[in-house]
Amino acid sequence: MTDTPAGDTQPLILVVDDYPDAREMYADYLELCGYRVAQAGNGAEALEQVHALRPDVILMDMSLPIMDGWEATRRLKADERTRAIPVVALTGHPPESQGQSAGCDAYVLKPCLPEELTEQVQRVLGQRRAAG
Amino acid sequence: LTSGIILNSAQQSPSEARLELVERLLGCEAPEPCAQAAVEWLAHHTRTRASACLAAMPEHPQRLSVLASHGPARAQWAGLELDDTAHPLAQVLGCHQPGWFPAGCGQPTLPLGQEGFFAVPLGRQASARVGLLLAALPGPELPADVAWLACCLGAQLSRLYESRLLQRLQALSSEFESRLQAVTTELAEQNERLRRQALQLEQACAARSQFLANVSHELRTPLNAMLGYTRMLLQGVSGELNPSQHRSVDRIDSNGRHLLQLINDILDITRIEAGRMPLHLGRFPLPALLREVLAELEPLIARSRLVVSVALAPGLPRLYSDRQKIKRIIINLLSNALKFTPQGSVRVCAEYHPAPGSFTVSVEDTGIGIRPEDQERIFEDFQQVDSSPTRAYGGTGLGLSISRRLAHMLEGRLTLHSAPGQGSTFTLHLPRRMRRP
Repeated sequence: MTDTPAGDTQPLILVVDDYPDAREMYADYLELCGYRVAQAGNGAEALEQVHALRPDVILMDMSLPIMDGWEATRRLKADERTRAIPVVALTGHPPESQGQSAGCDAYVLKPCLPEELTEQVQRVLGQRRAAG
Repeated sequence: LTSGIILNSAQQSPSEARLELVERLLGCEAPEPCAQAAVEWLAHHTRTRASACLAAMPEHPQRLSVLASHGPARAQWAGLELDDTAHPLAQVLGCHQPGWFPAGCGQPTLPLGQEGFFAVPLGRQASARVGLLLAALPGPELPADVAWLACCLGAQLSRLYESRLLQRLQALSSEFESRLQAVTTELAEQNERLRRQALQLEQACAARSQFLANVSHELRTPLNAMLGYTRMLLQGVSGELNPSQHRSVDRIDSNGRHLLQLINDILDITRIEAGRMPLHLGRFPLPALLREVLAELEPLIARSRLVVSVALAPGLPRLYSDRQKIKRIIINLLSNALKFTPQGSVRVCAEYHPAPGSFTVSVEDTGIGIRPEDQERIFEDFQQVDSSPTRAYGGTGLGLSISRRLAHMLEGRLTLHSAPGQGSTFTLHLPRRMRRP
C-alpha cells in the first residue's frame, strides 16, 4: 500500500469511468491511499465536476457514453481555467499519433490494477509539484 | 510438241472456242464445274480420248482427288496422297513439267484407262500442287490446246482454291473471334464474381475482427474489476485474510490473470490476421534488448534453477525493425525454454550473417525436447504437445503461434530443431533491415 499524502487538504482525484464497478474500485483504492475522490460516469459529467470541484488530477477512461474521454480532454485542454489539471488517460489502445492524444498528460493501458493507477497519480502529482 | 489438230465440231474458230472456255471458266464459282467444263472442252476441241482433272481442296490440302473426268477414267480412283512421293504422278508435280505415261504402264495406280496419257501440272509454279490434268492422247506429244487449257484451268483453280481458302480462313477466324468473345465474357464475369467474393470476404473479415475486438473489450472490462478487487483483497484492504482465504483468493487472482492473458493473445492474433497490428520501426542494438529480456524474466530464471547464459557474436550491427515485437518473441521463446526444461541449461545466442544480411537469435535448452511429428503442431493456435485440459505445463498455448506470426510480420521466420530428450533450439531469423511495408 502507498503512503498517505500529508497535509489537511489532500489532493482531490476525479475518477471518470462509465463502468461503475471499475470506477468505484479505483475510488475505493485511492481513498484508502488517503486521497479525496470525486466520480463521473461520462465526459459531460466530468466537465461539470471539473468546473465545480477543480480536482488536482483527472483519471479519465477514454471510451465513455455521451461524450468520450478524448473529447472531454480536448475541451479541458482548450480552456485556460482547466488546462493545467493533469489528465491521466485510461485506454485500451495507446494513441498512435500526437493528433489523437488530445493533450493527455499520461496514459495507463487498460486493464489496470488499482495500485498501478495510484502510482501514475502519484507520479503526475510529483511532476506538478516539481513544475510549480 | 506438236500444234495438234483441232476437231471443231461446233464450227467455231479456234480463238472463239478458247474465248468461250475462258468465259465459262470465269463464270464458275466452284472447282468442280470448272473441271467439268475443262474435260468437256478437251473432248470437243482436241484429240483427247479421255481426261481427268485432279485437284486438292482446302479441306484436304494433301490429297488430289478427281474433280471431273471424261471417257474411260477410273471414277472410283482413291486419289493421290501428296506425301506419297514415290507415286509417278507426284513425281510429275514435283518437277513442274508435263509427263508422258505410255499405254499400259503403272496400272492400277493411275486413274486413266489403258491408253497412254499426259499428266500436266495445274497452277503456277508456286502453287503447282493445286492439281493435275490427265489427258489420254495417241502419242507422246502434248497438243498446244491441251497445254493452253492446263494453263487456264490451273489459273482458275488456283483462284478458286485461294478464295475457298480465304473463306475457310474467314470462317475459322470469325469462329475464333466468337469463341474468344465468349471466353473473354466468361472471364470478365468470373473476375466480377471473384471481385465481389473478395469484397464480401474482406467485409466479413473486417466485421469478424471488429466483433472480436469488441468482445475482448467487453470481456476485459469486468475482468479488470474482478482482478482489481481480488488484488485489493490480497493486499488486506478489507482486513487480513486467513491462510485458507488467502490461498483461495490467490487462485482467483492467478486464474483471472491467465484468462486476461488469453483474451489479450486472442486480440493480438485477431489484429495480426486483420493486418491491424501496427509496426513501430526503428534502429537499435540487439544486446541491450537481450539484457532487458533477461531482466524481465529474472524471477522465472531464479525460480528455474537453470544455468542461463547469453552468447553474443562480436561486432553485431544495429537492427532496423520493430523492437517491441522482437522482444516479445524472445521473451516467449526464453520463457518456454525455462518452462519446459526441468534441469540443465538454457543458452541464448545472437549472431549476424553478413552474406544474406540477417540476424539469428536462438534459444537452446536441455529440456524435454519435441518429437518430429509434434514440431509443426506446436506453432498452431492453442497447441502444446500435451493439449489436454490437465496438461502439466501452463500457458495459453498461443505464445508460439503469435511469435511465428510476429516473425512473419517482421519479414523473418521462426525455426525449430529438436528431438525428444535432446532439448530444443528455437531460432528467430530476422533481416538486418526491414523493407518498409
